[in-house]
Amino acid sequence: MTSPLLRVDGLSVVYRIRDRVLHGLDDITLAVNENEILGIVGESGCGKTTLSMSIMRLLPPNAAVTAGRVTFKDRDLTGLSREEMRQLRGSEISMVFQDPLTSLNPTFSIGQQMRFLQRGHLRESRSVQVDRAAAALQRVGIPDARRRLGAYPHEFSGGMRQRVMIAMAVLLEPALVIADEPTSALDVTLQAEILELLDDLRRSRGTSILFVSHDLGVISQICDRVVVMYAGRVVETGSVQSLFACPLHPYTRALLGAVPSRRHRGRPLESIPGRVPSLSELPIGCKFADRCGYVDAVCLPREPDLLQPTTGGDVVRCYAYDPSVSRSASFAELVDASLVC
Amino acid sequence: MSTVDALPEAPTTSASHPGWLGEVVHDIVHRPVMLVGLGVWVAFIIMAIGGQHLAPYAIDAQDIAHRLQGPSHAHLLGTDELGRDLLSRLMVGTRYALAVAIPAVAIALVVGVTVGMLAGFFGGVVDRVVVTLLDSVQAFPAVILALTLLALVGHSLRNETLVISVAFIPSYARVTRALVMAAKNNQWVDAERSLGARPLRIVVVHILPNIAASLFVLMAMDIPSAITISAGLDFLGLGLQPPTPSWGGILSSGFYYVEQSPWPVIWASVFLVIATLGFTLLAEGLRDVIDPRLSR
Repeated sequence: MTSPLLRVDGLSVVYRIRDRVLHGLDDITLAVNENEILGIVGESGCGKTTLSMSIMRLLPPNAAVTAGRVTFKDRDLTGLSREEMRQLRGSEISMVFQDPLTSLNPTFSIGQQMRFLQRGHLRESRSVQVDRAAAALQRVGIPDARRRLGAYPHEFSGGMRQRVMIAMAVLLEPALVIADEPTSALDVTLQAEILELLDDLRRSRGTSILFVSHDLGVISQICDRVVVMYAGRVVETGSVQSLFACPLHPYTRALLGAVPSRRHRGRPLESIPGRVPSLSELPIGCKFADRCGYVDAVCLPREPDLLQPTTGGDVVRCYAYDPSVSRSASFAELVDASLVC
Repeated sequence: MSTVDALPEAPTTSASHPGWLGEVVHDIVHRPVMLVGLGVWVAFIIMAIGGQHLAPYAIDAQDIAHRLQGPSHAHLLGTDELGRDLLSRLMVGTRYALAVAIPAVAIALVVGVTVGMLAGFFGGVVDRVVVTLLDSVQAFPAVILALTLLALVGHSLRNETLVISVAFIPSYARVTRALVMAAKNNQWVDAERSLGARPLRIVVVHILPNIAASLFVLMAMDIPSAITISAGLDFLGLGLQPPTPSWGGILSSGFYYVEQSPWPVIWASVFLVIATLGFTLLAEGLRDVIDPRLSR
């Protein structure tokens, strides 16, 4: 395993709203390896969807990438022409969206839509395309696939529609699927089925998945590694095991503390005070400072960089793990807490 | 319990599926109001195509001795100021009414939808330019605009058609723009882009069918108003000129002699009312049949 399948290096995205410039993403760095499921977790508005859209180069017109690059299979996606990028979407990278009820065009049968997709990328006979579509439906567990190709989206239930969306996303066997909250609109049983399906695809086809979710439970079930985002930044990255067992960043700790679990039995469920800062009034220093239980004077004037902690995990954006910063009492408390795991 | 096993197998829907056309026919038959509209329109289209063969008299056959008469055996609807048979003239006039209204609305539809789709989908500068243009056109009342343009380009069947279509273009462009703007926010548009669809293809192949029902209904509703506008222009002497037996023209010359005989005015109005009412009924019925949200 030499270079990762997808690399995002120092990606920054701004939104222009009237005459204001809002920093949607700031210096995002992450990598998805082959045959890996990378989770992106964070609260609403932390830039998860902006990230997936900027990888696909499908940002709305008022958003622009100001720095950084996205490298896929050693090709810089930011440098591709529009047509090259279009060719890539669907065949090399594809997406599954949150709401399966609105992700399919209601006026065409799913078979037609699956053929449209293939015609945009390949020149093949109708029968080959129909065969491939039927096989894809079969693979995602839709019974009687060949006959169901003639059905319209409204004839499917929500879970089935998400299966159809996944079938469309993997139809041309892309190397990477970006799944943007694919299970958030589904109930728990369906959620488990869809997760199993995605995991299956990874196993059988070697498809890498960028799995975006706000649900830590779901992330822990399916992902190999996790990126925690806050206010358009990466605050912590690590393997699922290390991140869930000994989270480093105060935000990650707080998120995990807010998940009901046996560990907290009998104690009231914790919540994170305050709310995600609005993009228009981000603090100058650490973006989590005003909600952080371990905040110190050093956190306020300047934002910490991502650094490799000595205690485990991949990277974390917190002064408490910075050896060059003198340890205050609250930092020592945080580091000690993260060591006990 | 084996009750479940004993249940007969559910019939499959594909076995006796009536199909889309079958459903539409079924819907039409069960809507008497729409049937009336349809009937009116079949009759008018027959008159438009074969009016001169079905009419009892030639449109220019004068009988000055029996001018401005009421309905009689010889002339079912009476005669005009030159003793010409009103029924024959109105029947043949149907052709001029439809020959202006239908192409005018069709042209407005094609131009308006194209402009509206571009503005709605691409937004930005394109949208602003289009909206400004539409605003300028719509600032004039349709009839006044048509009057002015006709005065400029001179009157003929073709010019009248074009002028009316210009007056109708903004409403199509606007409706299309709004519908496209709403439709492009659907997640399936994002989904299609993320799977590599070309933008133009998304608008034409994917969005257009989603908004076609609304446009079709708008078109059906506009044909009667195009008929009315064209009759108005003819009435004012700016459209088709005598001796062309247009409804507006018959109304106009009848109006001149209304004190001697009201019949030309009455019958011309009746034809206009039946035509507009018939098409409106048909259009409303079509809307209900086509729009799945209303029918089921």
